[in-house]
Amino acid sequence: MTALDLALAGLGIGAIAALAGLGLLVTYRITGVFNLAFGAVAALAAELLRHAVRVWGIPALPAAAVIVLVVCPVVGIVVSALVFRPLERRRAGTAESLVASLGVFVVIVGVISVVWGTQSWPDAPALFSASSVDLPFGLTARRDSLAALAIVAIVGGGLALVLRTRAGLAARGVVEDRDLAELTAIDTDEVSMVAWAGGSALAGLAGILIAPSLRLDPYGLTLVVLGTMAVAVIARLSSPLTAVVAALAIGVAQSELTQWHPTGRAGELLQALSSNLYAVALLVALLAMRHLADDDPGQSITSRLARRHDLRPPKGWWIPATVVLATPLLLSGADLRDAQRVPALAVVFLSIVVVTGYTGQISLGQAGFAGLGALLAARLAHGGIGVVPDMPPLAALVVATVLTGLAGSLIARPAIRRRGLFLALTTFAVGSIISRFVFAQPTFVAGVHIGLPPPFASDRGFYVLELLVLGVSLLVVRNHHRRRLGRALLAVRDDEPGAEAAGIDSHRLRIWAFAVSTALAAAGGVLLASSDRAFDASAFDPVQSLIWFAAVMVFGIDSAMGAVLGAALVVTLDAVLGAGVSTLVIGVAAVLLGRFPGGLLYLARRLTARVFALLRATGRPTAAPEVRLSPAGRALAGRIPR
Amino acid sequence: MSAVVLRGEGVVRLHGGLVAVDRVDVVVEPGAVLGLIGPNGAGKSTLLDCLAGTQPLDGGRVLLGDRDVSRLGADERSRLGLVRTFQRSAVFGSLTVEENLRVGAENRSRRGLVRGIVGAPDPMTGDAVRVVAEVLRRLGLSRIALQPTATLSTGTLRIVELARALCSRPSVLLLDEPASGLDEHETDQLSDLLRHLRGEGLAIAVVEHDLELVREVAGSLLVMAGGRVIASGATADVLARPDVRTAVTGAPA
Repeated sequence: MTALDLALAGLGIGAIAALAGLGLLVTYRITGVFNLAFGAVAALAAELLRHAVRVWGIPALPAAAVIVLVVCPVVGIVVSALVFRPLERRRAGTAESLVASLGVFVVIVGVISVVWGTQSWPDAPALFSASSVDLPFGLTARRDSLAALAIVAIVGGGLALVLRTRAGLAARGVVEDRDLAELTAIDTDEVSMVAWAGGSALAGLAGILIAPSLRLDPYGLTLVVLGTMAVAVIARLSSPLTAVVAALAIGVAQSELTQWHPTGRAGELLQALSSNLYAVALLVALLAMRHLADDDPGQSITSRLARRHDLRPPKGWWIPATVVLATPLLLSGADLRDAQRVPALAVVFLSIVVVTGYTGQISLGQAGFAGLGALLAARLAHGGIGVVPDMPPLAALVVATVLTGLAGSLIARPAIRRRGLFLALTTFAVGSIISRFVFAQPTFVAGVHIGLPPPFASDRGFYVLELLVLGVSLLVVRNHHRRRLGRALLAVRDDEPGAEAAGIDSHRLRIWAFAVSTALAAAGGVLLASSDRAFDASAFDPVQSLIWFAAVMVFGIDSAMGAVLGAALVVTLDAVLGAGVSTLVIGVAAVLLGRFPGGLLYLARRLTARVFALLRATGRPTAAPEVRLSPAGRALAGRIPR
Repeated sequence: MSAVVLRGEGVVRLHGGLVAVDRVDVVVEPGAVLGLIGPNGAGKSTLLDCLAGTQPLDGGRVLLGDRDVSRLGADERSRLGLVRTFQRSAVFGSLTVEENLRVGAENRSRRGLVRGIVGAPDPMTGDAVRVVAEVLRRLGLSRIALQPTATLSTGTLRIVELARALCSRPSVLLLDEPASGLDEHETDQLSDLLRHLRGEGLAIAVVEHDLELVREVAGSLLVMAGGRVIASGATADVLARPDVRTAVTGAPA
C-alpha cells in the first residue's frame, strides 16, 4: 500500500472518531454535560448489533438502523430526563454532571457485563464490506472506510444545515446563554433532549462502525471510543469543524504509522503508538495546550457534598470495624481468597479519598497506578529489571509503593495546572497510556511471577499482611485529615486563592496529595494482584478507574470509613451475586448521587440521626411541650439555621 | 510586627486586550490606611490581586520593604507578611471559625507541614493557638468559634476572613471591600478595628465603596478609573475635588 492508500484508510478511522467526537461536542455545547457515558453507549450499540445479527439472525443493516435511529436516541432521552435534566435545572456544575455521566457510564458497562459477560467476542458484524475498490489515479481504498467518510460528510453537512434553520438557531441560542434563551421562549428542555438523542445516536453509530476492527468486550471498545475525547479537547470543546479535522488528521497519522515495521521493542512501541494514537493525542493536548478553560474548580464536586463535621465517624468505630475485617481469618479456601480482595480494594479506595475527597482533585487514573505498583513489585521481587538484584517480596512492596508515588508526583507537576474536568481527563489519559504502553506490552508483562510474600505466604498469613497494610494506610489517610496538614488540605479544597492568601503553598500540597494517592493506589494494586496470584491487565484497565471512582463517590468521597465499607460491599456483591453486579449497583447509586449528596454513608448517618431524634421525641413525657410544631417546624427541630 | 512599606511601581495587568491596570504607582505606608476608590471595573481589585500575587504582573514591580516580591507567589508573599482578603469572602466552608483562623496562624512557614503525614506534632501549634485565641477575643468571635463557617451569614464571614488575615500576623494588610455585607453596627466596629491596627503600625490598603468608612479610616486616597490613577492625595482634599466625586459616585457634584 502506498502512503496515499494508507491515508485513505486512515480517513476511514478518522471519520468514525469524528462522529464520536461530534456527538460528544454537540451534547456538551448544548447541555453543558461532558458525557463520559458516550463511550459506553457506543459499546452498548455494538453489543446489541452483534446480538441481533449473530443470535437472532436479523440482517445487519436494518438492525443497525433501528439501533442507531431508535434505541440509542431513546437511551439518550431517558438518561437526560432521569439524570441530567434535574441537574441542569439547578445549574449543577460541570464536575457534578461529570460524576452523573460517570454513573450512567458505569450502569451501562454494568448492564453489558451482566447481559453479555466480560469475555470478548471476535465476531462483531460489519455493515460494509472490507473489500477494496479501485479509485481513479491508481488508488485503492476499503469500502468501509469510504462508507464511514460518506457518513461523516452527511452528518457534518446535515449538522451545518440544521444549525441554519429556526430550530438550529434556537439550539445556538441555548449554547450562548441558557437563561436568555428561556426568556425568549425557546424550549431549552426540548433543545437539550434533541441534543441528547443526537449525541447518543452518533456514539452508537461510531461504536457499530468501529466494532468490526476490534474484539468486542465491555472495556476495550469503550476505551477506544473514549480516546476520541482527544478530538473534543483539541477543539477546546467548542469548534465542531476543528474536531472533525483533528479526528481525520489523527486517523491518517495512525494509519501512516503502520507502514514501518521495526523489530523488537521499537516495533512494539510503534505498534502501541499507532493503535492508541487518540489516547496519546488526548494526553499531549491536555498537557501541552495553553488556555484550556480552567474555570470549573474541582471543589464544586466536593464542597457541596462534604461537610466534614457531619461525616466524622462515631468514636471507636474502628473496634467493630476491626472485628468485622478480622472475621475472614476464620474462613478458608475460596471464601478466604475472595475476602483477600477486600483490604486490597479498600487501600485503592483510600487513595481516591485522599486526592479527591481531601483536596478536591478528580483523579480518574488510579487503576493505572495500582497496576504499575503491582507490576513493579513483581518485577523487583522476581527478576527482570536489568542489573537490579531480586529483593524480598515485602521489600518489593515497599519500594514499588514509594517509586510509584514518586512517579505520581512527577506526573502531577504538569497535570495540576488543570482543574476540574480537564484535570479529570488528564488523569484518565495518564491511566490509559500506562495501560496501553505498559500493561499491554509483552516486554513488561511476559513471565511476570506473583506469589505471596513470605513470611505471609499462607492464605491466612497474607490476609494478616493485608490488614497491616490497610491499618498503616488508614493512619496515613487520617493524618491527612487532621491537625495542620488536614486543615491546610481542606483549605486548598474549599478555596485555593484563599488558602494561598493564608500562606499555604497550594501547588506543593496538591502535588503531595497526588503522590500520596498514587503510592496508596500502588500498595493496593500489589495486594490486589497478589490476591489474584497473577498480573491481570484487565483488572487494571482504565475503565476500572472510572468504576472505582464512582464507587468511592457513592460511599462518601471524603470518608475513610466509607472506603473500607465500600470495598467490603463491592467484593461481597460480586462474590455472592456474580461478577459485574457490584458495577451495576454502583452505577445506579452514582446516577442517584445528586439526590443524596455526600454518599451512602452520609445518608445512613442522617437517617440514623433522624431515627434517634424520633426515639428521643417519643420517649419524652408528653405533658411538657406547650408549643405545637408545624411539620416544617418538626423537620427543623433543634437545628434552626443561624 | 515590623514597619514595612509596600510599594507598587508601574504596575500593569492585561486581561486579554484590555488594560485592567495601567502603570499604577502605589505606596502603602506603615501606620497609615490608604483608600482605593473608583467606579466598578476601575481596576481596584485587580491592582490588589497584583500586589498580593493572586494575579501575575504584566509590567512593573512590587516591593515589600527592600525586597522585590514581583515574582513570588501569593502564598510566599503572605508568609512574608503581605496578607489580603477577598471581595467574595474566601472562607473555608468545611472548617469551623476557629479552624479557619488556625489555618492563617499556623502557615507562617512551609516547614513541618508534610511532617504531619506521620502524625508528628507541629512545633508551631502552641504559638498558633495563642494567636487565634487573642484574635477571636479581639473581633468578638469567641462565641461562634466552634461553628462550621458554612452556617454563618455573609457579614460574619467577612469578619472571619479578616480575623484569619490578622492571625497571619501581617505587616501589610490589603482588604477588598471589607464592609460590604456588614450592618451599621458591624461597620462601626470595623472602623474602630482598622484605626487600632493603623495605630499598631500596620500598613493597610482598603478597596471600599462606603465613602463614610473611607473618610473615617483612610488618611490618603488613590482614585482609579479605567485602570488608571485619576487622583491621589490626602483624603479630604481628594474627596473635595468635583471630578473625583463625579467619577466615583457617577453623579455630578
